[in-house]
Amino acid sequence: MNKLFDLRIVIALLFLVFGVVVTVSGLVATSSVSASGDPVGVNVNLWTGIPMLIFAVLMALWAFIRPVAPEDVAPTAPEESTTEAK
Amino acid sequence: MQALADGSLRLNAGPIDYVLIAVYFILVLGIGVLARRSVSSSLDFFLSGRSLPAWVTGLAFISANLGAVEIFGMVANGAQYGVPTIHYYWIGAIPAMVFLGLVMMPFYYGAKVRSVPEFMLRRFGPFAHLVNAISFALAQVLIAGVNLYALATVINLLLGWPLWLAIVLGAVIVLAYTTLGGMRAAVYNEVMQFFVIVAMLVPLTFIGLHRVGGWSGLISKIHATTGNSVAAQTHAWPATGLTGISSPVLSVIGLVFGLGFVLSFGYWTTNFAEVQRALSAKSMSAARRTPLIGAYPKTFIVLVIFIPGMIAAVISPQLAAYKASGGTLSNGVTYNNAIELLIGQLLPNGMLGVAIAGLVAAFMAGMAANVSSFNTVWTYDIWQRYIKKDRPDEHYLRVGRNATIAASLIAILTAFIAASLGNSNIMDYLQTLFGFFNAPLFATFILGMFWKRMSAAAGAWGLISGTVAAVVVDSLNRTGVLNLSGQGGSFISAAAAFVVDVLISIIITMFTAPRPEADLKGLVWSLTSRDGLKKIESAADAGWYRKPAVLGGGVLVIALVLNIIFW
Repeated sequence: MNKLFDLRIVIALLFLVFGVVVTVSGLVATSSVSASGDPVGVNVNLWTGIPMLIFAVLMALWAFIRPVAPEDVAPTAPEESTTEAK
Repeated sequence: MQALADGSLRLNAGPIDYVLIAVYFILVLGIGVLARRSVSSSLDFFLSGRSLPAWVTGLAFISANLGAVEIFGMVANGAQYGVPTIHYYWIGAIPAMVFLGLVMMPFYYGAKVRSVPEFMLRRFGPFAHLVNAISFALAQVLIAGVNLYALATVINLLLGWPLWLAIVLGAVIVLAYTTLGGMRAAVYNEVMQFFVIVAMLVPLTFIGLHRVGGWSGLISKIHATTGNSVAAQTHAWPATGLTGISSPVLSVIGLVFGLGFVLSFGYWTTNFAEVQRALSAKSMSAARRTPLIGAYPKTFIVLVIFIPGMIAAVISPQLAAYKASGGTLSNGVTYNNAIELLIGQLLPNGMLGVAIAGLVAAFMAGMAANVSSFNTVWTYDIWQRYIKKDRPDEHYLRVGRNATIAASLIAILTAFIAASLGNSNIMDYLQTLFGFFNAPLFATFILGMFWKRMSAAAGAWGLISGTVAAVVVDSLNRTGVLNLSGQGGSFISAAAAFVVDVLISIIITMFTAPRPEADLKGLVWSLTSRDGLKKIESAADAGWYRKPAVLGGGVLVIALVLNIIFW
């Protein structure tokens, strides 16, 4: 359960959902008009959704490459506590 | 917030936006539930068991400050004053954060104190401690109410929800994750919130710049709306518009001494809501690196704060008209609406949900920082010290959880009082007032850390007289005796607080006995061994690039270069 609560995984999960939802809405309808009806000129959702997906992948990669180090687990309650690496 | 009623700032949030906001809050609460499993002692609850890595505490350190009041206020400054807004970061925050990491953190972390008032107690005894602990606890719980009220007005403005619903919902969510997971949940959520805020601000900057034709397009459009005063908007120095001090030389002195030295050093180095994040770090090295690591994103984030502000004042017709009139036009918007106007003009459904989540997250992080620092000071510094000593640790853990609930209820009450008064000026004033506690606190700390002769009575009376001096100068300015139009008034009152505090402390020390040196070990520079700073505690602290001096020097150089670029 410790690794499940790596903060980097939580952040990756959030931006994965944000990225997928925003990118898909950019693909199905070009979002070059703001929610209030002002012209923007670029497909905002597509251009912001893709960087969010990339960020999610990078965060997950970081957590995967440098997982929680055993010595970083908080000493107060070893069987329950959680911490990330580095 | 005058435009509450007419709905002109309403954003057309769609189902997709609500889905994204909901996803965010499920994760916020999920962090609270997961963090609960690591809370088995009061130290876990209040300082996360001193176990967090430096990148987490570093981001939480700036995130606790990057609340909504900060974002709205600084985007508004960008819209009103332009480039000089950077002074709050490159002159204000950065040197103070470096000073905290290099000079002051060894005392805080090394003395193993659990709060800033506790350091006060060990250096100056109970009188100064009580003054500091009570004023801090009171300020935090009332500011939590201010944050909650501000959150509710923005939700009301953007989404049309009733104020009472927004107040209660916001408080319940913050209460849920801070009582469950304690400091760890607060810190983790602050880190996540930092990234969501960046995900809101960076697209606003780039899309906004695209709209106005890049930086040069922005400058020429600002020229069109402000005419001859364009240089004051597009150059950082001497910032006479920002300070309201007409002499350039005095304006620079006001900035460097008032804002840069007293106000910012006071805020960043003695405000427990900030320092608490560093005290949660897992080693001395990580604690010292906390403000230093935080300083790097802090240096760059101002770019995506003041530029959107400047863009908002150009592309929003209402705000441009307001600015052209010199802030006298009453058309339902003010500079404080800059970020909402920009979001409404630039973001489609989808990104709109991310932006609203970011704004709401910012309010909650501000309130959570207030609540989590309040419950620590209340439990350790007031309850354990003066009311119920020597109870088992579970007792204090329970007191901490109850204090969190009580603080949230008081915050709700404060927010409702503010809502019934129907204007935010009183709340602004309260906030300024509490800001006055920091400047003299810094003077007292810095004297106390480097001057072992300074007596206990000097600590308390310096603090009180400095606070009074700040209030007096501020009142003189508000009643028009000093008459500074910009934000120079707060710089001057902070400077006055500092000078008065130092003078009174010196005078009182001359007539009172110093504390015995044996009591001051680890609390005063000349009586503290420096060996602990050199020792490397684990592999995670090794490497030249993790040396505090290197990290601190690096960020100062970057801030200097940026200052030259925006000269």
